[in-house]
Amino acid sequence: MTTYRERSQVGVVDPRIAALQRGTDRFRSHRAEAVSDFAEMDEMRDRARAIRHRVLADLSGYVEQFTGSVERVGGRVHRAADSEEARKIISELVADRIGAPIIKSKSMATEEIGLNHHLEALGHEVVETDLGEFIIQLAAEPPVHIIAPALDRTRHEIGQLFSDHLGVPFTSVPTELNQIARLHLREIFLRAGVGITGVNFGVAATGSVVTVTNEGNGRLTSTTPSLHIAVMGIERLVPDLADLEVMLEVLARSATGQRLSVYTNIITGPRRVDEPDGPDALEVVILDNRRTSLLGTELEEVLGCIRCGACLNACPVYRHAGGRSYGSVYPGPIGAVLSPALFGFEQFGDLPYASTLCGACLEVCPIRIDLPRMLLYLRQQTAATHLLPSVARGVRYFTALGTRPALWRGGVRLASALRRIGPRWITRMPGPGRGWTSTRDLPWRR
Amino acid sequence: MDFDQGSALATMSVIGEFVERLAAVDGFAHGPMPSPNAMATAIDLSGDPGVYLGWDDVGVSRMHQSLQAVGWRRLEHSISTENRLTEQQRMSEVTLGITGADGGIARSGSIALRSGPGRPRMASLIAGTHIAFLSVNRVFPTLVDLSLPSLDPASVSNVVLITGPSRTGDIEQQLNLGVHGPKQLHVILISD
Repeated sequence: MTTYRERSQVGVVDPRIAALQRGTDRFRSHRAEAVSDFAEMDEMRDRARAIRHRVLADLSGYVEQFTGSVERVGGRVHRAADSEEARKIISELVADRIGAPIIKSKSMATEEIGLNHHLEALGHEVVETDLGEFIIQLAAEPPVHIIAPALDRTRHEIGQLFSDHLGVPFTSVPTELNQIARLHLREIFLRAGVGITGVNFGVAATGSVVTVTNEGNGRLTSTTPSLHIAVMGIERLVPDLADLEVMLEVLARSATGQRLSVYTNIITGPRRVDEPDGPDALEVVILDNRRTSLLGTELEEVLGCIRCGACLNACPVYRHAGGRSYGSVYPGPIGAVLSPALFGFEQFGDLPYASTLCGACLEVCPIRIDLPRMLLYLRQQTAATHLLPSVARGVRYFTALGTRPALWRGGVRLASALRRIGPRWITRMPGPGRGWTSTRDLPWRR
Repeated sequence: MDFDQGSALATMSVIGEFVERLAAVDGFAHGPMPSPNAMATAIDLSGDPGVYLGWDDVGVSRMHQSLQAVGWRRLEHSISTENRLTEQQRMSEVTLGITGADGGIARSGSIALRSGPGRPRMASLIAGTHIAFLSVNRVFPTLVDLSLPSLDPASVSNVVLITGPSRTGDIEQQLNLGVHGPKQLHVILISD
């Protein structure tokens, strides 16, 4: 197991970091523009926050209402306590459909549960259809950004991937690459047996599942196959359609700077008997995976997240060390809170330190989620339970000095004297002082 | 200024904003114009005749007869549970989708489409070109004014808000239109 520090040392020198910075810069300027010409943005953010809090305050009630609503329109709802259960439910739903491809529209929840590998191991052909997800599926790499998974890939790399995997001549012209993907995936869409999508919002009152995409792959995935499986994090509910309007007003503006994404797709049940197309069955899988264990804790607020990715674009640490450094499907400031909260301190306890606590994430969050507060809280938890022995020793020495005035004054005089006479050619300290001088010179007086 | 004039002016500015915003998201607005002209415009925009997929009622009478008169063939589209895959294969020939629209949002340049009997979802999705007819009376300033509850999403399997043609920025954030859905979106505004 690697640490954030080790991974980020690779991340900061990765040549692709420049592409990531260009990408996040563009997202940031588009967001800023969208927010500046929407006078109601602040009010909408307050309303969106209130809606998310209302849902979290009675989550089990809303889940029950949502379940009843989905069933009323002919869909079915499954509850998965953890990743393993979610994988099991989904693999049983698709068990008799080996042979026809399973198509997927981008979904962080299915990334979280490692669905693709699981289904592939069972003999299914699984095809990601969002262009960015399709690219990283060919590259066999995890996403680097929650809304733009291939953000740091160059056109040349993508051209090489397409020519290696799809048997087409190499090209690095984006419009041609786009056309290659359209033709390749179109053929698969029309013969797919199952479509799996994520869910941006579930509407409790109507049982609607809402997906927001720009490419149209989400609509195709939920229309051409006879079975549509929607995988939703349990917290992604809104009470009713009026609340959905508020969430839609803030989501696209925060994510890409669009007023609305190209396709806001509201799916309510499978197709009705008199409708000419659409899936014959809709199965909604509600994923908990420790989310409800955060309710009523200092971390409850993080469940308000609507996965817009604005905090990633704003974060100086994410922008310099990249998405892979987090080692989690959820990178950036939101990932630094979600990953230890959902997947454990053992593996992700160091992510809350991957932050300068500058507050940029809170400033752009459409739900005004106080990520800096929770990053600090998680650090306190780490300190209280897993304080590193070297840090504990350091704190003991400092306490010993700081609580003995004579010793402290003597120490300060000694340090001051050393700074005047110290040999300037020595810039680094050995042993325990090494970490301190790895990024700065010793402070000799000049 | 009496009330009627005021509201007519307000309507004009809403339509103006709709047209401007649709252009900003790379769609094309035409009109407002009366139905007969709308039909002629659609024929002009339809291009080389081939196979098209459409709603039964697009909001303009005799639209299907007119398209067929210039050589278009309409794909009879009703997917059966048993033969879904073979029936769906025929979709690959479709080059034009033609639909009505149940509402418009000026602020974002969006149109709202409900599924239902005689209203295939694929008509707004599968073809390279999508032409939609929208009555000016159904254009509202904002999403909240249009109101999702008024579209009654619970009574049909699908309500979609469409804001411009299909787009992606997944390759070096370069704008590409028509990655999976239509590359061209035409909204013809009908004034009567």
